[in-house]
Amino acid sequence: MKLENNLRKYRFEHDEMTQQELANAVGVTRLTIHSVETGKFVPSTLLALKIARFFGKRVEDIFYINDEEDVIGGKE
Amino acid sequence: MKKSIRFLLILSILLLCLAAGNTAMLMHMNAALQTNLTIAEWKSYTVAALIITMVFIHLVSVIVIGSHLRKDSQEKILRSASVVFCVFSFFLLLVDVVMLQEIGKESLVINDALGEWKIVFFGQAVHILFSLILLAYSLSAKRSLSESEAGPQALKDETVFLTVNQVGVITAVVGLGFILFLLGFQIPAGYAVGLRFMATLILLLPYFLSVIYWICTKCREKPVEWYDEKQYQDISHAALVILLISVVGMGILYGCYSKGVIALDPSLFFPIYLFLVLLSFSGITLYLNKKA
Repeated sequence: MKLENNLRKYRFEHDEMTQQELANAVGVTRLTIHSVETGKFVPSTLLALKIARFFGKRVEDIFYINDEEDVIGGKE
Repeated sequence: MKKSIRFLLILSILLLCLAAGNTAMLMHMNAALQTNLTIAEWKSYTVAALIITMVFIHLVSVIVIGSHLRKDSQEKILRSASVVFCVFSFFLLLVDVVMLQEIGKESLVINDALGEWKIVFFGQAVHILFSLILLAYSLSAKRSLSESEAGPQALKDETVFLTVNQVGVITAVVGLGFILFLLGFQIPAGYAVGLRFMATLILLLPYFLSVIYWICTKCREKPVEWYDEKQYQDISHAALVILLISVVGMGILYGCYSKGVIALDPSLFFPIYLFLVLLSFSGITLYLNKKA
């Protein structure tokens, strides 16, 4: 089970904002936003809510679980 | 920033010339002493003047580099290396003075100062290496300055966090290298213990200074806000790995020592432990932070 996200899509829809601008808006470092976006770091509930609130979306619109990867990997 | 980088560039070129000139003078003096020739007084004064000028350049350089620490740049590793080598090279300048005095005294009594000369020439190599690192940093920073000015300023800073860990890695590598140098070369026993102790203290200085600087930049924030959540996670993982490495690694080292497999001076355990832990902690934190 892997947490994926539409962060990149929403950033670009939001006037092509940079990772640094989003990081400044939610109070984390650029590297954290980069790791969340690439799926290498699972954000806390607080950070996920902050990001969702910033884009005016629900958390589920931005973050979702990808079950398919486990089926392919045979981990289920 | 532009002016200070240009200033550093000038300092690095000047330092390179001075260090090279000083090495040439010292090589000439060494050759003269070995063939029992007298050394003209002006040569001794020239070496003294060169050392004093280099001390001054080191002091100015560390202040200028320190003023760049909060600036985000692509040259973080070169900048961290400059800080560590500046302090190490400065320490070796002071060692140069002591060694040259000893050489002067010993050459009057017995013509055997090989150990002292080895330390002096090792110091010259470090001075030249520092000037080259400083040159590389200032050239690289000059080139990329215009690019870094374009982006938005970071509110949650990661530059100092990365710099502190890079300084930690470089400090530990230089420290372990210096301990190996002291073990590998036949340094006079009277100097080895003092050099080891002073070098450990001096080499750890840039790391502690950068940690203090980092704490100063965070003093207005609550401790819970000092790191962001990913930095917390990276540090926690690094701490767990260090716990395992230090217990297992030092256990193996102690086992080998007590069984007589390796003959290690007991006074070396603590510096080796310090530098190994620093290397592992800073290295793993940097790796995890950059892995994304």
